Amino acid sequence: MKRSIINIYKHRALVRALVSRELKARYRSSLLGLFWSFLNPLLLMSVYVIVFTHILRFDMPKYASFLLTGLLPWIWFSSSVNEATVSIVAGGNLIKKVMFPAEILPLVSVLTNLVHYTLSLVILIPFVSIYGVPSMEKVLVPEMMGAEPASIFLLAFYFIALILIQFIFTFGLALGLSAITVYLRDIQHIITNLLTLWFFACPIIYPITQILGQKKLPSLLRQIAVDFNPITYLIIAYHKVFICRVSPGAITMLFMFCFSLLVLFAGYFIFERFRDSFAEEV
Amino acid sequence: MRTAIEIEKVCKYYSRFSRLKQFRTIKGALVRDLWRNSPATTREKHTVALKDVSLKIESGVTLGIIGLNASGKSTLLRVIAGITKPTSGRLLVNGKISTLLEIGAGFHPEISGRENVYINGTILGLSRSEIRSKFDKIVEFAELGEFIDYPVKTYSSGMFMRLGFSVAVNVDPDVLLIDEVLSVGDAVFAHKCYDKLFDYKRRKKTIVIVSHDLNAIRKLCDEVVWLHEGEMKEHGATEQVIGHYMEEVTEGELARYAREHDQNLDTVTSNESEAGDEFERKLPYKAQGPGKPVEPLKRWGSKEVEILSVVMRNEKGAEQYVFNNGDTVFIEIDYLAHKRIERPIFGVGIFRTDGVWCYGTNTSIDQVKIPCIDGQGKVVVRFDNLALLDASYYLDVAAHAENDHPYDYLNQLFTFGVRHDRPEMGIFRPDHAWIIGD
Repeated sequence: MKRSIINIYKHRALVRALVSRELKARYRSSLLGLFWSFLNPLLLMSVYVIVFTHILRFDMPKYASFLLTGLLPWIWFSSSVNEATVSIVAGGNLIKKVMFPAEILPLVSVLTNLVHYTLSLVILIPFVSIYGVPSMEKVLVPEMMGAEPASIFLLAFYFIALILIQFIFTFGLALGLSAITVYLRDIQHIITNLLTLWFFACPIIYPITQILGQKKLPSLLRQIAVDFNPITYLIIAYHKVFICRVSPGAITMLFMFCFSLLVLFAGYFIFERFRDSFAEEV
Repeated sequence: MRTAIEIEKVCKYYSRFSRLKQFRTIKGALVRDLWRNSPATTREKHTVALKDVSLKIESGVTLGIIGLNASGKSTLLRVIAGITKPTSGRLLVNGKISTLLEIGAGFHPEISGRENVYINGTILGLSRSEIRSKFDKIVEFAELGEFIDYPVKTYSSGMFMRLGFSVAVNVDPDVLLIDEVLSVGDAVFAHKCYDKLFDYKRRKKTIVIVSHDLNAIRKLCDEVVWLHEGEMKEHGATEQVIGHYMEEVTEGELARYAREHDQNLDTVTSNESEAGDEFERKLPYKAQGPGKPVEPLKRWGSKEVEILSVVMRNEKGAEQYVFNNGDTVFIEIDYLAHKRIERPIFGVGIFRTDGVWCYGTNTSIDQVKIPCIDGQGKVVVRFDNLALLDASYYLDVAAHAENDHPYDYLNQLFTFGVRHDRPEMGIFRPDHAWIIGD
């Protein structure tokens, strides 16, 4: 692991070059260019807003703020995982023809989408402050509301910590999946569909109160969606920071950090097991 | 002298099937490789790509690797580059390696040549500032001009290759690995590439080249390694190894031509039983004398004279179908005349496989008179100096009457090869000499 980190550090120029290649290539020869980074989540958000406030009639004022807060980190996560899963297979000619630390490829997927996420914050933060936010009762269940209101600096710190945690978690997942996909190409299709399911299992388009308030929901489903869903923890923390402006709780953060490290180790373990024969199997 | 690359007893096995086919379940697939200690060595069915290859390359040496297809050349190069790990064995490399296994690795079609140079350069191990300082040299070498700021997808394939090659050679590594990429661009650019490689040689860099182009190897290499089916067959001075290699290749082709000849035989025997209406033809085959029956691509004629077999022989009288330029060649035609034929004419024609008629003659043209024939007999034509250049050729053989009425015409009877180790152009080699004077 240490060797791998040193290796990535040595190749940081390459990582940077590849990330900027991805960023440039994605919107090259489109009229609006990088502006699509902002436009895409906004358009997606509009779709959900229309569906949930006008058709399904969701009872939440300022729903758009709530939605955007959870949707943006989800887009970062899901696009990263989707792209990283095929990154090694797609980067075949690099792995086959050049001496190249393979873990850079999933890393580049995660980083590229992180850049998109940070760019979209330029929209999120003004939007949330100008448009306004829903009240805490609409977003959180009572037992989650205990935390103290936090200062803007503390919130910023928590936010950066959240990004770090999500990064570690996503990269760990990306490492493992990208390696397995080399041998089992089916994974990429499974992942695409699994991510859709996962999306609806997270309190992104609906508040967590919806799930916990549903008395009819089998407890196993509820546990999977809430207790055993790492993204749920993340999204709730994002909600707390952006909408409720309270601390997500140091203990919870520490727990999430340890869990994401665990995922990273697991992903790295899988990746190391498979890496030697990438050049032959890609 | 310092050792640049040292390889000790390196083996490389590839699993013969994709792993997926070996597994019945996803769980099996994951568990098996995750928990096994060394998945590569324990696999039962594998192809041997390299077997106990040991090699020491002194720094400053240009080494060529030759061998037939699938002899492990590229694998060896990849092992040296560190791209694939050897299944067993030890590898030691001193200095910075740059690989030219693929031109333009990591080029993205959507972004400009300029940006791609930076990415490709970083992939090959240059820092940003190094690329910046070499940038003008790279663009100038690639002869791209203003195109450098256009997206790579707008490049012609030649421009793409030139840019890729230009980046790679300007990396200026201690060890340069090249796989079959010397034929880049037009003749002018090819010369520039060679100049660059000679410049490397002068500056005592180590180069390893894999190529089928023996002339390129001759030009560049100090030493040559000959790989055969994953094993190192010979390692030594360039001319010596290439010489032995060519001998073996010629032998292999000889065997191939002989095999084709035999296969033609098989088709005849199997055709015989089916073709009832060819009863007439069957008879003489059973009554055949020495030599072998024939099966040309097309055959026509009234069959009053029938050609039973055609054999090519070398000057010692042994049957042979691959010759060297300048060899003495006998073409032996066994015939059977079903009745008494006055003044028959026998002829041969030599065609290159692309259809070019290289030479044709017959007994009438050469004013050889055959008064009459009846029953079995033999006609032999001797070429004292087979002046054909390196290629494969078809042989046509015919027997006809004075008025051009064909008795038996065998079109594209079989293929024979001529080998010639000098790169002369054209079809044949007339005797010639150069006279240099004021």
